[in-house]
Order: sequence, then structure tokens, then C-alpha cells
Amino acid sequence: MIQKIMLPKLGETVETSTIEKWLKKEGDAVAVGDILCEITTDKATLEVESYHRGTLLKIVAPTGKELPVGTLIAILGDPGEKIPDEVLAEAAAAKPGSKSYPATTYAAASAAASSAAAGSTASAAGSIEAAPVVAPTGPLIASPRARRLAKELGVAIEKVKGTGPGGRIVEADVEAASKAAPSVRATPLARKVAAQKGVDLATLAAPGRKVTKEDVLRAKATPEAAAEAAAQPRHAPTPGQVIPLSPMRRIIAERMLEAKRTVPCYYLQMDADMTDLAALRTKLNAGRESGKITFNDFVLKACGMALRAFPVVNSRWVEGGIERRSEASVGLAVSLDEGLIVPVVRDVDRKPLRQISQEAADLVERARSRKLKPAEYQGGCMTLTNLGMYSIRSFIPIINLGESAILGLGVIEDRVVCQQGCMRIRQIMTLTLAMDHRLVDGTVGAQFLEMIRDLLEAPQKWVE
Amino acid sequence: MPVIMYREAIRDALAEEMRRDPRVFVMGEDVAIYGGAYSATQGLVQEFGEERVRDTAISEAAIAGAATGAAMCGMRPVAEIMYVDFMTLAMDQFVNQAAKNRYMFGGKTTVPMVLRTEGGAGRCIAAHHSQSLEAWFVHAPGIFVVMPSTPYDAKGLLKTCIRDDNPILFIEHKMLYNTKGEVPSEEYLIPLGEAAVRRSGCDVTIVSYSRMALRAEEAGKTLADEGISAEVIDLRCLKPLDIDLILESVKKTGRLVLASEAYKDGNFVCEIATKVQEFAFDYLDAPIERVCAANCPVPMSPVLEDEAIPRADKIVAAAKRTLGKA
Repeated sequence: MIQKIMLPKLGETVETSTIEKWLKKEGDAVAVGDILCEITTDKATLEVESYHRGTLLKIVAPTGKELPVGTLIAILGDPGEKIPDEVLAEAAAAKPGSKSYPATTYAAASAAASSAAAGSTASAAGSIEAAPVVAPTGPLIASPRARRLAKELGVAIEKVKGTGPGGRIVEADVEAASKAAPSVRATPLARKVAAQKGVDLATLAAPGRKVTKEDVLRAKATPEAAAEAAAQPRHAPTPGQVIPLSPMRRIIAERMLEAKRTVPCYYLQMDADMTDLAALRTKLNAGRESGKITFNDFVLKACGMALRAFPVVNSRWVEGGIERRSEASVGLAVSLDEGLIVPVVRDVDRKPLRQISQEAADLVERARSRKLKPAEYQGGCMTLTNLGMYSIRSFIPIINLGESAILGLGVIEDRVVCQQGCMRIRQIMTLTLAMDHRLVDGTVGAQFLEMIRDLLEAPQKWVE
Repeated sequence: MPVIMYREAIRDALAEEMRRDPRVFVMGEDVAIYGGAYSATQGLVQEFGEERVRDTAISEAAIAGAATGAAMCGMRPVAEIMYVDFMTLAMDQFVNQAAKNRYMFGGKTTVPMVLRTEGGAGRCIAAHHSQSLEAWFVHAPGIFVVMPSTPYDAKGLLKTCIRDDNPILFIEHKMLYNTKGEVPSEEYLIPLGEAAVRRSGCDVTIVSYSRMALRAEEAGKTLADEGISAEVIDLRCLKPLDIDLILESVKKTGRLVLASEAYKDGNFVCEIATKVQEFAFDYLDAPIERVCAANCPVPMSPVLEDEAIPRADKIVAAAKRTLGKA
């Protein structure tokens, strides 16, 4: 019986292949599983295996010529069988076949690596005639969840073995593959930047700490220096050496000590459900590559609104009394290599969120490049300090001298909470407020913090 | 906490709201002297009299139309349509008038009415008395659709519906009237649009409502015995829909089974499936499964009826398919 052998599609993206070498000659007997020829795609050299048995009546396609997949390359049949005219005409034209290739007229192929196994089964192939050794490559079957997880974990999904129904790659398969490969601890931002810049995080792995965005950027600049940098601890002191204080370090030391000694603080803690705010933030930032609104921006504005509502908090302890302030300005603690600085966003309660976001981003940027003017880091009424990005759940900050309060923000994390008798998983952030008791008593401090919490939990009520 | 029947919870909700607000009144076929086809209005006429508990003619169009008019004139009618199957006769009044008037009159009128009805199979009373037609009403803007599965939910939700300014279709289930559950003696309300998690789990989410919610819970127990942790959600309201809770759960489990007693094609749960793939596509680890009634008129034969309506074992099988364990 006449069987047309077509050039198989050996990969999702393969459109053309070239026959390197025919392993059978015209007139040779062919068993199921025999290798007919070798072909190369743009990616690999592969073997075309026969699904059928019979005699190779005619080789249609020459070697060394790039052919579209689906092209008729050979004709198989019984010994001496006459090839019908229409098949000969097709052979003469040697043009691509139909796009939808029926599986039965298709040649099977197996990668060169597995050819030994395929070859050994070929001799016993008589009984498994119908079963191809390797089916033509179809689309990769993986659940959307598995694909998402693979992307997040940096797992090459085409290498994962699927165990779901019909061989689908499911979440558990990607998890297993990820565990099998050594994992790299990295911040989410570092992963994102690494993916954008095409940096392999595995080369940056450093014991005892997470890979950061800076590591990735450094690696992108000088890949060979990266490994060396990773081996170094972040802050390398020489044992026994006394490092003279930098002016910034000295000021921080003096002010922290004085604050701790002279400001009688009390501390209040409260959890805020950030689920709605996170959703709103995602919506506001949708489609934006830069200029994204941060969680801090929301909290800045909430603090400003609370300061406006509580003049007693929006005030300062001075010689001879308590000074009320006219503007609600909030500082934002920015960490630098040699210390920290607190640029102040002015009048946050009166500005739209987007403007606060732009101003804060600009202040932070200039704080890091040491370009702040003194007026830009003075005159705040309270400070915001956030260690959430280091997975800190809560911490007790020290008041910035001259201000009435400081608010410490922890990580926003999924926690199980009880709502109306049901357990729910919500995104929770713990707020810790340190308050100067000379200015504000506990009940007012508690109401102040409660207002901030309420604003954060219902941002749709005030975000314009 | 007192344990009462579903039909008693309905009656208590009606009585409490009628005592609270003189504008609330009840009307429908056989609701007064007979006490309702499923005894959900028993004793009301004795307490409130025939003015406020009115037997009507056998005309669903008249019942729905009169309720619409009364609501627009400042009353808060609770009208009963004996079977949801008979809603076809009330359709124009409810879907074209009640649902649209507030919108068409630019907000100058409201239609604060509740149509109570009941649906579902289980009594072998055949194709005209056993259907689940909620999808038709969820499709029409301007109507809320509420389908409680427990006495607690039935009471708390019916009271909320009576106080709401929108036309609401409140669909009870004929096989639930004699089920019992704890209901507090003090007053409480359940907000519209809040689903309930009946069982927490992490392997697969099963979403259901009305009587099928009880079968979903049963399925959840069976699955737990086999080591599969199912999260079972009872919607309680189809509209407004608590899609956030569903998405939250699907993001956790990655698998979704939707169980409904209505015909499979064009079932309301298809809407949930669409929303889930719109908003949580990247979290799905398996195709979404639907467990619904057969696409044929509900049969009268007990054997066929049982086969046509989803049982707990079919929900269990669907959950297992999502896990590749079928």
C-alpha cells in the first residue's frame, strides 16, 4: 500500500528543515521504527523514523535543501507497487503538503539522543506497529497556574515532566522541578530585574543573604565581577580597626541618643487590612512602567489626613510650651550606605496621591544622590519608616528629634484573620506608632493610629 | 440557640418585618387561609389580618404587576409565586417593569419589592414544578437574586431583602422547607452579596448555592475522608455575586468545581467560570468543572430525576477530575 512520507514538524516553532542524509536507499525494505533519514532544524539534528513497513519506492526530497514542513519527501509501498500518477505529480512538484497533516501518514521522529532506544525497539516492532515511538511534537500542555509559577520560579517549563490528566504540566510538577534545581534566594525586585536584563540569578547566589536588585545590576555591568562581589559580605569591617565617624554617622548617633534620652515615648501597635488598598494600587499602576504609586505614598497621605484631624499630634515640643503647626508634613526615612536621611513631603493631606508619589520619588532619588537641600529634610511633623521589604513584621522605631511621632511599617503579608465568623486570608500590615507622651496622651494617640488604619483599609473613600 | 425549620425562618422573617414596618404586606396564591403551598406563611393572616396577608387570583402576571405598582406607590410588598416555573407568566411585569422602572424614570421611583418563590427538584413532580430558572433573572439588570440554603441565611437574607430598595427574586428550595438549623432569637441581618465559606480547604474550590450547597458540603466531607481538602463556598446571593471570595479561593486552590441544580447549558455558573478565567486565569491548574442538571426537562420518574440532578458523588468525581485522580 502506498504511504506518503512527509517532512515532520519537530517543534512548535519549526517551519522548515533540511534533510542531511538518507539512511535508506530506494528499494530498501523498511520496518516500523527504522530511521529513514536525518534532518536538521534550526535547533538540532533529528531522525525521521518510519511509522509504516514496506519498501522505499522513491526518495523525493534531495539532501541539503531547506524544505517547508509537510513537504512530501519519500514514497513507501509494497515491493514493485506502482506509484499512482497523482502522487508522482505531487512528488514532481515537491511542494508543501496540507497544513493539517493526518497523523497516519506522518513520519515519526525521535531526537538523536534517544535513537539508540528507538533503534533497539525497531527490531521487535512488528507487534507494536500502530504505536509511534515518539509522536509529532504538539503544543506544550501546561495549566496557566503551572506556567505562571514556572515564570515566577524561573523554571524552564519545556523541561518539566507533566503528571496531570493527559500529561498536562500542573503546579505540582513545576514545584517538584523547582525543588530539584538549586534555588536562589532573591528579592522579588531582583527577580524582575534579572528577568528583564537576562541575568541568571543562579550565578549571583550568595550564602546568607538574598540577591538584591543592586547585585543584578552590578552583574549586568560586569558579569565576571559579580561572582566575586557575591562572595564578599555586604559590609566588610577589618577586625580591630576603629573607623572615624562620618559627619552623617555622628549626627545620627547624637540625635538618636538624645531622642532616646529626652523623649518619653509610648508605643501603639495595630494591624491594617491592606487587601483593598493593594488591589486599588494595582489598578492605579496598571500599564505603568514607571511612576508607580508605592504603598508608602498611600500611608504618607493617610498620615497627613490624620495629622490634619489631630492638631494635638501635629505639633512640636519647644521651650516654653507646645507649638502647633500649620502644615501637615511627613518625613520618609531613606536608607543610604552610610546612614539614613529623612526627606519631608510637605502638606501631604492637601495633595493628590499622584503628586505625593512624584514628589516622594524625586526626594528619595535626590536623597540617594546626596542632592537634598537642608529645607527638604527639615520641618516634618512625623516620620514614616518601612522595613517591610526585608520581611520585618513589626519594629519599634525611634522618634526623629523635633517631631511628635514616628510610624513603623512592617511587611504586607497574607495572614488568616477572622471576619464575621469566617476565616479569611487577607493582606495584613502591622503598624507601630511611637508617640511623644509629652505632647499626646495614649487615648488620643490610639485614635490617631486608628484613623490611619481606617484610611488604609478603605482607600476608595479618599483616593481621588 | 433555637433550632427551627427553614419554612419557620421564612415565616419569622416576614412576621418580624411586618411588625417593624406597616408598609410591608404579603400577597400570593393561597398564602393567607391555607398558609402557603409550602407552609411558609402559616399563621400570618391570624396576626396581621386579610388586608396585609392577601390571597390573590391565580394569575402570576397580576401578582407581579400588583406588587410592582404597590412598591412604586410606597408599599413594600412581599409577593409569593408558588413555583419558579410559573415565573414565565410574571416575566413581563417583573423583568420589563419592576426591574427597569427605577432606571427608566431617572431614579424618581424605586421598586422595593420581593418576589418569593421556590424551585428545584426532589419531589418527582415533573418538568413544570421542578426547575431551577435563576439564570434568566441573573441575566436581567435591575434584579437581585437570592438563594439561601439554611434557615439562618433564609431569615437574615429575607429581612435584608425586604428592607432593600431593589426588586429582588428570593428563590427558596422545595426540599429545604423542612430542614432545620440554628437561628438566633435576637434580630440579625445578612448583607446581600456575601458568600459563606462552609468548609476551608486548599486543594479544590467547590462553589454552589441553594440545596446543592448542602450536597457540596457532603462532597467536601467525602473528599476529606479521601485526603482531599476542598473549600466549599455557598454563594447565598447570585446577584450581587461575591466574586472576590471565589477568586481568593481559586487563587489558593487552583481548581474550581461549580455545582448547580439548573440545566447545564447557559447555567448561571458559566458566568462564574467566565469571571474566574477573566480575573484568575494564571491561577488555574485544571479546567473548571461544571456539575449541573441534565439538559432535558426534569423527569418525573424517581430514578430518572435522581440521575438528572447532581448528587454529591458527582461533585466528588468532578473534584477528583480537577486533581487528575478520576
